[in-house]
Amino acid sequence: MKTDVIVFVVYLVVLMIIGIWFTRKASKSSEHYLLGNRSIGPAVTAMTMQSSSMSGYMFMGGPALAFQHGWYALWYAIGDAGGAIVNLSVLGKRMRRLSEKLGALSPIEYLEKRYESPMVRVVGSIISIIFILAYVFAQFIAAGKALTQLTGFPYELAVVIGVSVITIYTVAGGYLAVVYTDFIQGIIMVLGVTGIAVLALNHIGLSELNASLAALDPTYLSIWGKDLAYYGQWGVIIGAILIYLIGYMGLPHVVVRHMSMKSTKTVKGAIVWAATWNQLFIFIPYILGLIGIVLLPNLADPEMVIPQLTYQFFPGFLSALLLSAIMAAIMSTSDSLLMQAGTILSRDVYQRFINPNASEKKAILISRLCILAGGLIGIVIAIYEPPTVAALVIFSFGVLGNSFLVPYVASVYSKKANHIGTLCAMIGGAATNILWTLLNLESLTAVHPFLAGLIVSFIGMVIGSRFGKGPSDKIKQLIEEAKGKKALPAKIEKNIAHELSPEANNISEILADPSWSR
Amino acid sequence: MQKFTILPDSISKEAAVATIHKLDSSQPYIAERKIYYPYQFVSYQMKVKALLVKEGALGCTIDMISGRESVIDSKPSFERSVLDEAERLPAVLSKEKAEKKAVQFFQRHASKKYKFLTVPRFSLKESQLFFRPFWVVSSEQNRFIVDAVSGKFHPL
Repeated sequence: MKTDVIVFVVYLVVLMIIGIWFTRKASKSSEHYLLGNRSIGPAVTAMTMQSSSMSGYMFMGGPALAFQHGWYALWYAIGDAGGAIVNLSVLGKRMRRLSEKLGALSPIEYLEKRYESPMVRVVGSIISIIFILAYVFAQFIAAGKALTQLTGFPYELAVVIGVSVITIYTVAGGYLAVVYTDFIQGIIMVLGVTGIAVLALNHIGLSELNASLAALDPTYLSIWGKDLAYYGQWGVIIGAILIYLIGYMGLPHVVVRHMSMKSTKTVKGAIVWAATWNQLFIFIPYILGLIGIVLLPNLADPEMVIPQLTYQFFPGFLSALLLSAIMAAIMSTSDSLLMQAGTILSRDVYQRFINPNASEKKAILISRLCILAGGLIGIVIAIYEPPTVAALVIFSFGVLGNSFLVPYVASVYSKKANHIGTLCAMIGGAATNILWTLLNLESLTAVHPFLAGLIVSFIGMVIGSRFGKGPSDKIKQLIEEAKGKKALPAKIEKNIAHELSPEANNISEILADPSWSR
Repeated sequence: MQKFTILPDSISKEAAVATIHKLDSSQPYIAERKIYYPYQFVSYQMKVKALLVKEGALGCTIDMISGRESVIDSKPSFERSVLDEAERLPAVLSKEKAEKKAVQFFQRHASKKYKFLTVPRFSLKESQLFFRPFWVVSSEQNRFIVDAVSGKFHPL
């Protein structure tokens, strides 16, 4: 085990040196460093986004689901494989146009401006912060488990060490978080996991795997789950597919990518890359989970399938390197998620509503305290009541999706959807998913919490929008324009400089004002 | 007549019309008028105590009507010119508000890169209101603004 620890420490140091080297090389002045990344192309963007945002789930959650439920777990992967494409085609272009016209920079600010209500921003921010933190907790648990495997320490000690390392990593700062190191980690993880899959499948082919699974328990091969646990329960199956197929449209930190990237071509390119990447990569962790059923029959913790298989198929040094990459990716995911929660709190809540005149210093202090509190709660949960990584990710993903999916989709497709409807959809969707999960209503009703939340959120939007003031004429007009009916020749459409949208809107308004036009 | 700070234009009236006409030759376009749009150029000196102390100047422009911030890599070269009231849009934001927005903007970027335990300190170096010229180019059916500095355009 000692060698593994050395490899891990050396890996972190090398990563840090690479980070510093790239930073120095890429920029001689702070501004390039701070505001860089503008030249990053779609492939690197996609790789960074996909590999680091899903690290904990991809390496522990997904394989564990397959290990426990057999081929049934692939329903989640099937949804995920199409998620990026659905997200882009349903929401992408319209939301980009509307956010441009509204001049909204953050996804929560977008909802406030579209639904013309500060209350939407408050509720949206609170839900986002809580469930982004839940994502972080999942990463903490994953970090603890990966470190247990690397060091042989007890899980509790590993969590404390893991979270401490995350804090140091975060404090040591920006250097490690530059996208090049994320990119390198992404490459190592993909090559590593693909390598394990190739070796494992060489050891036991797919047909042999199925035969072995059937010999152990034929229901592993069923679409209804092991022991036919979900037999005939289409409500659960549909929910399992939908959560990752359409759920991305409800994740503020995913949706923001449509809005904030400078070039529309980069957005499209990145999503095409992400979609391609998903087809290639998303199924592998689940297949490894299935292989684990056969090759690791005595595995106590299903989430350890990939770490265990790594040790089985790779020599000591390579397995330690791969686990270090996983651990480092988990750390960089954690610190960026923590940052996200802190930014939403300080910008969308504290400076906007509680103390608009607060100095930047005070706002940062508040966000740090929030992050610190979130981190401490995370440690306590990870040690005393650790849910599985898969359960926590599916839960927080589901709640975020149920809160925001209907409001985001309705924001560009409905001229009737108003702030009351949105509040009902957000609160109703989130509350339903939470209650459904906590009270285990899935087993009573045969309906997946995500599907239940989605239905309640939709009903909330339809009924709620009948009350209160409807959208203003200006918003209705903007929704119509966001449909993007091509009134202009294709060559002109293609070359429009979208960054001039705010100027164009303001000049339009002023030119139309008879008191100004002279 | 009052003099204002402006960005010198590099796209002539004819070039602005040609930009649009090249992409849509089905109808005649004319340059209706020139409009000057207000921005505030704000530059701060930033100091961060990270792993190594970092210091540097940051600059951005604030759209003085909608408040949107944009990063700029270097200070633009300005000139002074007389502007008629009818060709210049009035600023909605105050100078102080623009400077505050700029700090918040830098802070957001800084916090993303330098993480939450280091607070960059900002001291104001320069703050100046300036106007950017746009051509309003139109046909019977369509109307555009063409940025007289970069030549980029957007429909109105």
